[in-house]
Amino acid sequence: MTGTRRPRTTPRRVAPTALLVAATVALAGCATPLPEPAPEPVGAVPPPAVTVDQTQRVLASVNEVLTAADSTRDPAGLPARLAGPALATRTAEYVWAGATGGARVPTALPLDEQALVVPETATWPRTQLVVTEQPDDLQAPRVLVLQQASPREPYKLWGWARLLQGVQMPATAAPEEGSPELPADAGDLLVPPSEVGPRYADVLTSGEASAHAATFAPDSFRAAIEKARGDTVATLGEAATLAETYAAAPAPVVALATVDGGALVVTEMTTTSTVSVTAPGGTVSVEPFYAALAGGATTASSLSRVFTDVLVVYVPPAGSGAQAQVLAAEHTVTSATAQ
Amino acid sequence: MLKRLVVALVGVVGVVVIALGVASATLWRADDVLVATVSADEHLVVTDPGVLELAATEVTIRVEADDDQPVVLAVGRDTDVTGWVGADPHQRVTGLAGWHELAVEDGPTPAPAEAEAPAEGEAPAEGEAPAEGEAPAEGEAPADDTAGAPADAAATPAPEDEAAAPVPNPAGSDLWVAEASGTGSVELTWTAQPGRWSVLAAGTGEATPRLSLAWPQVVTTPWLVPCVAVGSLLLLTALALLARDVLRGRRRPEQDWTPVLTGPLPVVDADGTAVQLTRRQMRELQARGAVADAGVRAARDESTPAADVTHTGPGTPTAGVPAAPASRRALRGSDRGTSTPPAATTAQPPAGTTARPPASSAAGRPPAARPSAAGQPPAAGQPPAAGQPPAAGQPPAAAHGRPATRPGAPTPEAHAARPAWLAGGSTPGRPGAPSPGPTAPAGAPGPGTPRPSGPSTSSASRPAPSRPATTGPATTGPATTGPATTGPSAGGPSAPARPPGAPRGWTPVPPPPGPVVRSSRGPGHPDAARPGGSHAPQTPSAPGGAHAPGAHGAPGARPVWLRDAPPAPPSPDAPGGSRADAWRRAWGLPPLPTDGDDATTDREEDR
Repeated sequence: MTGTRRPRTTPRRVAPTALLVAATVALAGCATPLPEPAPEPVGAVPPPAVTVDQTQRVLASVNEVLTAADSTRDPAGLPARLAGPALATRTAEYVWAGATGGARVPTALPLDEQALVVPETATWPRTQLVVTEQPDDLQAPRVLVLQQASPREPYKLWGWARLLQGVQMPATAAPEEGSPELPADAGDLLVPPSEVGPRYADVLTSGEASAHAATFAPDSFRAAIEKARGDTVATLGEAATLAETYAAAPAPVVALATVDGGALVVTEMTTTSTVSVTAPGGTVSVEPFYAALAGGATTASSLSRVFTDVLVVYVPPAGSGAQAQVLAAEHTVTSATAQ
Repeated sequence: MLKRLVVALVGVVGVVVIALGVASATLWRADDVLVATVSADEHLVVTDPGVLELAATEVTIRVEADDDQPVVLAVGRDTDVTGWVGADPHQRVTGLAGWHELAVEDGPTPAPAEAEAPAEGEAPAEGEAPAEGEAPAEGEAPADDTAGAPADAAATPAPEDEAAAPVPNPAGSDLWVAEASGTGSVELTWTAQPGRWSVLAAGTGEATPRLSLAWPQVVTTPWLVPCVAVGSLLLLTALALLARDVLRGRRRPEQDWTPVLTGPLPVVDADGTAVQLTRRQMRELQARGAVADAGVRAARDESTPAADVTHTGPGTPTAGVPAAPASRRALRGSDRGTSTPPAATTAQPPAGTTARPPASSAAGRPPAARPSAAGQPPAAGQPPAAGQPPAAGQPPAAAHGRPATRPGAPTPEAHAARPAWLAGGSTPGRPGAPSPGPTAPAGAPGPGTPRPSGPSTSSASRPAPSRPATTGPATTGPATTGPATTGPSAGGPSAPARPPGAPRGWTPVPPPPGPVVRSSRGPGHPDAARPGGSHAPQTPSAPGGAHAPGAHGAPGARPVWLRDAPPAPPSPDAPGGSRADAWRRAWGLPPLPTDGDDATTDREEDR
């Protein structure tokens, strides 16, 4: 009797339980939750604006454009990858090359990077520096300035400058990490970035008499400028006068922090050199190159040459006792006016 | 049937569980590649950071567009992508909406200026103007005029946008870390990198892009093993239960037969003391029983052959339970027997055991009592001199009575013996009384009333004896009371049988009151006792028995109790015979008068 009764009660309990278990199992099997996106948190500082690969791609692209333009000396294609002083300089060089019949070749621009200084930024414009390898002819390495003005524009070669003799690049962060971009009025530097250009211009203008002469360490660029100026003055003698003005851009292109707390400041400067014949009726013969720039005039009583300068200056942190140092500079005639 | 149904149900559940487990690993197994797709409403689709790494570190991104329209696919930092997209209308993929569907949100609404620009470009068309919110009130003409100026500026790019590409082409931007472009469909494989990355999918043609992300994934089947295991367990359990049920069903017919074991059987050794069977002996016995299946097994139905009952009744069945008590009693009995034997012995061989008399204080009386007792019997006319005469040596009397009866029919012995033994009160159990018949003749004469046998007869008979011997009453009193008490117990069941023998048999039984008897015997009743002791009558049947019985009086009683273990040894003839007879009866063999040898062999066999 009991033998038959037991099975009766247990099955009634077992059946629903088994069903419940089966249902649970079945449902649980399908219950895997949808994966949720788990992005990395936004960093405290923006990531480096570009990767090394991207920079190399940009450089390759720039190289293509330059090579194409150099072969024909046709600046038409340059704007695709060149802008600002670089575009002006290259265009002038083509003119000069044309004027000299190819005797004077455009500046060699090696595009293999030796070092990258990449900004940490998520905004535009973005500017990075590329220190290139030494060219084949043992010229000084170039410092290329690549800039992306807006998101949908490509990086363009904004300018270049050759490293000066006897200088050493300050240590900068690795390109994978990126270097912080400093505001133009950063206060913890020997010289605020926005003041670097004007003060250096003042030094160039006034020489040792400048109030900022002590700010900048002596450099070959300044020496060259002064020497050229002196030579010109000597050459002209009494016949003409030379007036040179140095005008720095109101704001630096970029200021990137260095490892030691200083900054690399890239700024543009315009040098206007005007030769005026003092003797009435006197004229100066204009060189073909300048004539080409000036529209073909061969003689003039007054000739103004405009140099476009690109300066890369290292500004030490405030209170370090060091002087600001011009690391690289380019001084190229980009236009001329004959009167 | 219900049981089987339930078992079958369990089996079915097991199968279902197994099926579920297998299905989870096959039918419902997730694809090796998780593909999620979305068709965009806008030409630009951007994924939020993290979506690319949603399900795996490697993702294959595919963008398709209808009609082989150009599509572009680009991967870049989220800041770059969003910077590039800017304020253009676009959609953001925020994650998964389902296992095969990407969740999409509309990007920030485009700046109104941009929204209107294209509208104004079209505005020159007459129809469009009213549609514009501002224009309608002012009318078409002014709208055209005002729009005219900017329209020129916007007109130039607008037509181009409309005609050429509704969205600028992201292809070729320096921002992208990886990109692909083509027509119809483009695919790109992206391996996760540190950082936040987004995908920009653009349909640069007329068509909007369809974006699909495919992640290879490691598909696990965590339910397969547990489900199959549990299911198998259930299934096997069900099968086992079912099998058992079926087998039982087949065996059922045999189930009616249950082996019956007799349990431990007491044996009395030569000394008359009960001996418990050793385990080994029991085992052997059991084995025997097993071998002799048919004989040992008893049908459950009690309606089965009476033969069995009869056999088992006396021997095994009742023995099983009562055996223990019986044995105990037997032991006690034996104790008593040992004590009583003296009485018996004294009673019979009073002469020999003159020493005992001392025990009885009322030496003089007893004799008187006995004589009276002895005399009564005769007076009572109880012919069976054997039974009553032995008033003093009642035990012997009983014993003798049995032997006497045995010859005729072994059964009587039991009854005769019981009374003596049952003094303890086990008589009721021995309904074997039926056989009283034989004894009855002996006892019947005396007491006409069978039942009162115990008490009444005793009272009747005793009173008489006791009275005659006034002194006796006191002593006899106890004696009578003894019988009387026993009487009641025996009264019910065995009453009918005993009544006859009881009066005398009972009176004698009182051997307990032995003292009295002894005293009486001591005096010199021996003679009287002996003569009246019915030795004469008995002797005939068992000549040597006279003496032997006396000695074995007690033992003789035991055999009756032990039934199974007859105290044959002492009296080979009677006891052995009885035991053998019982055995033979049990085995359905004709009773054979056998010698002591046979008896011993029988006994051995029994064991």
